[in-house]
Amino acid sequence: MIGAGFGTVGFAGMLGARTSGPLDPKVPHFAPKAKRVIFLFLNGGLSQVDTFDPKPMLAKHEGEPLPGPKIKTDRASGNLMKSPFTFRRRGESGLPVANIFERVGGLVDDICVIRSCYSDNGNHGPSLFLMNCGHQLPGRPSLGSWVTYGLGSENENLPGFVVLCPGYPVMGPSLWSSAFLPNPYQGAYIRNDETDPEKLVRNIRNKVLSDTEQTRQLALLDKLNRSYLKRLGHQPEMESAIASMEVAYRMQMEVPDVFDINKEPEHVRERYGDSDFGKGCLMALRLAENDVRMVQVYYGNFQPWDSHDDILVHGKLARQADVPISALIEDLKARGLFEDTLLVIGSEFGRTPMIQNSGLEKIGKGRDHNVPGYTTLLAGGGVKGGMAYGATDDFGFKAVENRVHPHDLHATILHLLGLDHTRLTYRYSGRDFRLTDVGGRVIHDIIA
Amino acid sequence: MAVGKAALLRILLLALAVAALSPCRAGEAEKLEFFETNIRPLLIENCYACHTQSKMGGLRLDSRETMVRGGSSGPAIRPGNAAGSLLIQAVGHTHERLKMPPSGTRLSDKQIEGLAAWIQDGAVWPDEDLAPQISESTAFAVTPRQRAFWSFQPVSMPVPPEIRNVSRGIAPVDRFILARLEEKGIERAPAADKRTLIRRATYSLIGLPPTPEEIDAFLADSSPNAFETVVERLLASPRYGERWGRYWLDLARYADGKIGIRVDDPYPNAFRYRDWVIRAFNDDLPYDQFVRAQLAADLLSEPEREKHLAGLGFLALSPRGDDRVDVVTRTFLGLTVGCAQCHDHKYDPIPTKDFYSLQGVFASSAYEEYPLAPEERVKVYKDAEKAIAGQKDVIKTFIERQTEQLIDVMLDQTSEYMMAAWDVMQEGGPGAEAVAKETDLDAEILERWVTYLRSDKEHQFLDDWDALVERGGTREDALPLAQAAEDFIRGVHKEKYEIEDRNYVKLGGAKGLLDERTRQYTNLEFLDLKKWYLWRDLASPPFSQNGFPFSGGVYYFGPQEDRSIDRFLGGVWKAHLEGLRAELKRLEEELPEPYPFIHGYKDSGKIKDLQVHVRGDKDNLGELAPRRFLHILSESEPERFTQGSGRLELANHIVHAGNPLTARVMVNRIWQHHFGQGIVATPSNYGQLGERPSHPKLLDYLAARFIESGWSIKAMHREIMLSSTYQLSAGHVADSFEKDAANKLLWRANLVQRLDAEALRDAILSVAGSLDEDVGGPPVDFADDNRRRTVYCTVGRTTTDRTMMLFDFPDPNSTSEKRSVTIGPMQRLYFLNSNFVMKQAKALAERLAREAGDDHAARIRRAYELLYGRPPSTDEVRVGLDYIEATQDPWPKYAQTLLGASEFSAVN
Repeated sequence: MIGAGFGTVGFAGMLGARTSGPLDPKVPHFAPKAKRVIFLFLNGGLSQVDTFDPKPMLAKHEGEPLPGPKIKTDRASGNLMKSPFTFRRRGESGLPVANIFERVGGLVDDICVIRSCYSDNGNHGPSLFLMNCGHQLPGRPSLGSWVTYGLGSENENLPGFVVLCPGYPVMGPSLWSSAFLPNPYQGAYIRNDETDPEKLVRNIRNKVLSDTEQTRQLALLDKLNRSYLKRLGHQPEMESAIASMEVAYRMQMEVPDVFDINKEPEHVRERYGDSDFGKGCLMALRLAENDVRMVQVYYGNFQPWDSHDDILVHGKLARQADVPISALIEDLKARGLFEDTLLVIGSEFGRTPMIQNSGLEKIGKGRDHNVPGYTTLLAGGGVKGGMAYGATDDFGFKAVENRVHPHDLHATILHLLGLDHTRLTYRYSGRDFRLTDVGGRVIHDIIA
Repeated sequence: MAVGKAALLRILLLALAVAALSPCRAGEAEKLEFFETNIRPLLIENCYACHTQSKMGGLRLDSRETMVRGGSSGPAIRPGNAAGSLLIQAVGHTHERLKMPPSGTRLSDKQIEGLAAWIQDGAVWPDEDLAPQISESTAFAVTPRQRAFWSFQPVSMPVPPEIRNVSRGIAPVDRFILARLEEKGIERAPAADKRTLIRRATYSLIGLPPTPEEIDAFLADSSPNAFETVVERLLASPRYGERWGRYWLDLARYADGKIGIRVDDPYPNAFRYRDWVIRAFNDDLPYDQFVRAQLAADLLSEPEREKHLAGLGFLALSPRGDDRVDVVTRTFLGLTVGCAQCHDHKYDPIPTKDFYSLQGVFASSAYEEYPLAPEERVKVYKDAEKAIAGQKDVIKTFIERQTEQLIDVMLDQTSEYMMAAWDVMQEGGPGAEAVAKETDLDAEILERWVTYLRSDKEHQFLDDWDALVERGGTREDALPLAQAAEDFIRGVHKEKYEIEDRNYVKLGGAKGLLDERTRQYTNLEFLDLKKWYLWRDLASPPFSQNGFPFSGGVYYFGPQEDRSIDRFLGGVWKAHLEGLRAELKRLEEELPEPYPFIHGYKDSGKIKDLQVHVRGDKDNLGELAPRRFLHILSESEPERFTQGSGRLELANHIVHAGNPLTARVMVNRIWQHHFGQGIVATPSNYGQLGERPSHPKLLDYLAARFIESGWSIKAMHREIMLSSTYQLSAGHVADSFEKDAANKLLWRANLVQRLDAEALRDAILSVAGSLDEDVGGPPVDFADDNRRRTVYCTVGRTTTDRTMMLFDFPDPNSTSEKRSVTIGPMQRLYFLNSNFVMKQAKALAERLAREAGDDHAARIRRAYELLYGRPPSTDEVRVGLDYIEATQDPWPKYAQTLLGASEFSAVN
């Protein structure tokens, strides 16, 4: 057992119980509704008209071109295609949800469906950057970095921002980069296809030294550092730097437990299924429970939801996602976390109501990227449930009512966390930067 | 006259509008607010892509006046008469021809009502916009006030101020610093001791700790120029370029690969740029030549051209095509011209047009690979590569043809296979192997059929069959279903190939088939989805779709090892395929080593000026921006570039001695790395939003000296390091601390709390005696047993090494002006537990035994000299001995602890 011996030498005793650091909890701008965020990223592009934004007109006009002048899409677009899935009104709110999200549909009274999202660029890269970092090009801090920069972390033994993906989504780590914000705000990337917690977090355990040996080493280290501090004289920053050792020591004990989903009873694990995404959702639950400020779970490597050639694949994906998403919502509620955890479920863009007219793929029953209109779900954390906000046109192509840009979504997320997106700034290279750049509008209508 | 009439109409309308406005002053604020919150955003979002500067249909919608005047279809609005306004008819889609906006859908009714209400209400527009500048000429004029900004003033050569209290030897640099300190009454900290000084200088110049021997030599040298000797030794070391070249690579956003979707695409020769930079620093290549080489080496005359061609990596190794204006102007000029891409710079005198003037230079240039091998070798290699690709293609085509034929043959046996499968699937029925043997069918295919018939299918075509199985029908019932299935499947197969034939014609044959764009923009036909699933299940090759793998159709055999077609081939077919493969193997074995080349840049075949992209939109082109230098750095209207792309002219303007920015920017970068803070705290932004210099005269003095010295970077190091300011200690002076806690005025040295990523890793290797001092060459991936200097390790663009990131290595996707230093627990875990540190601790322990013998105290003393550059106190020796004596196999553990202690990674 580590601990006892080292505790008596204690850095804490030497330097005061707490030291200041970049991840110290900070006071928000105003009273927050949510304390933390879980962002389930369905990377590739969730089709709005096949899931949460039903369009009966598609069935009526199937096979016809989208009315109006010829529009500009990524590739030549084909004719309208109705959804192969059926919609049913669910819950007391009666919001329609496609049958491929059967269980999530049952929880629709807890969910706010934003149907009027739109983005600026039809390619995955720029849209992923916009949705994650508020700018189409790499080099800006991510949402999670801004959130931890603004609020710090409530748990000093864990990173404030954790990103889970079995491999990498398209564009990789730049999507959780802290860019010019200091490094501690960077997303701590964890491969959730690993089950061994010691492989999850690098260097979390010493593979050679026994606990006793390491405890003795730490006691020696403490003496060396104290002697150095004495030589240095007045250097308060150095004192706090040295104190990070204490945190590291505690992390060694706490981290493996938190990431170890095997610590959950079997009946809980079963409800999440055995997909990587399921494991990610369960890990997200445990991290939320341990006060990690933001967790982002990517559905899978590369871009699984990019159903260019066969929209029926969306059925397989949704049925796989349905299980852990609904389990996560239920467990957040059961553990009393739902009220102050904001759950965001969405993609970098949606999919066209038209068939993709592309010779790229072999089937020809898919949908292309859709930037003018798509759907994002919010739940918990001070958001109204059982509500649809905004609307797309009759065919689900373009957001026409209460349009929501990623900047608006970001402004709203920050607002729910008690942060004013116009005041959350960082001065870099002579300019004040913010997540929402020069845009962003808080969507007050969806706040409970 | 038409013009007169139009003018008259305009005046009348204006008069009318003013009349409409004036009677209701009270409601005006409200109306303006309505305009700002409802109308202006709507116009911007829906109309301005076409109806501002680019004036589609002759119409601008960015002022009341232009709306009233209208375009080729007449006035867009009639204030007070919404229904009669063309704008309302167009957005309401009631006009027979004009339906706006042209893309996407109609505005919402609410929006249209808003517009109509606004027009009805007099179309109120804020005053300042009443008379907008409609003139198309956008000749840009820098105002005198803008021109008077500090950073645009010519570099002067200030006389170092007189100092009252000259207590120790002072250099010109010190006079500027001391003058400010005296002015504020701030006392300096004492000078650093010699051990501290040599440790500081060594890390600073070569990024490694001084050896105990170097320290001793310095301590023993009592001559007044002892420190100068140290500085000269360090500047002459080949390690110097490895340290300072790396800082330059931060700015150049250097990486060893191209950004890829998942991992880097290789840039196999990127390291040649890295090595060129390191060499340039070691050779003290004058900075003006250094800049010129990186922008235009290909345009220099020989022998410079060939010598510096690799410098073009600065432009060539870009993570994305459009960052060059931004990177070049920030790096060399400290100007954020990139901010003017979509609009005139909000703060600095940089019009959008200037952005496109420079962008034009790069648009007229192109990436180019310069082979570093004789033409013959290049040709041999390319031919060999082509032959391999050709041979692979031949094999692929041959196998594809065999696969198709096999499927054709097998389709004809479908009912037989299904009936055989029926037998296998009977309760207690014979195995597939036995049935296959008896019926003369292929056992593997039969097994696949059995598996397939038992699986869930994504189509309904075998529902009859499944129902029969379900209710336990007889073999006689099954036979007609199997025959019907065979007919249907063959029909689907035929239909699919007919569709493909028609698509082939539509695409215009093989050429179109291979062209992605043609395929994307041709209306192709597809098989019905359910039929496609059936076809896929029987005949498709394996593939993976959105993470769901399909392992291959029942009848499919091809090049894959686990479903190889080989066993169906015999006789001449088999011999032929084997021959083809043998030939491929020979070609691959004979492929020569790839020839080396330089990732460079050249003037492209299409030299052209760009048009301004209005609001950054490439579909909304504005006026032409001739290729030329920036307005603010030119005395009058800048002259056009006339030589090719203009890159060399651009480079010459940048390093022109009269350019006020270039020298100031570079000396400040050097200063920053020595002191941890720049004289200008925003080293890549000398504009309005940048910081003002803390010591403007010192900055000018250094810049002037820099140019005077022939742009020598090493001379600048001497100028700085031989000052008493550089040689101060980091000691605490209470009163000074109170007056200037941030040490802006440099009354003491700044403590380096933690070495940067490279120095830290290199120092560990160095003190452990493990450092491999090889110079240059292809990058080596980070691994526990990699002992090369960090500058020679692989810099990934898509993914940066996680340990490097942990220690704040800069993101290579954008130019990086400053190293951030964070200290956190994850870094401590690295020292506690990582394999690399454990391994080097062991090496260090061995080194101590080797160099200090068996005496424990001697080993401890050696360790302190190596790691901390000082002897241990008696107390520290005692603490060490206590630990050693009480620990099993103590030395590696002790060594690891010394490496993990804060003192190891701190300087000063």
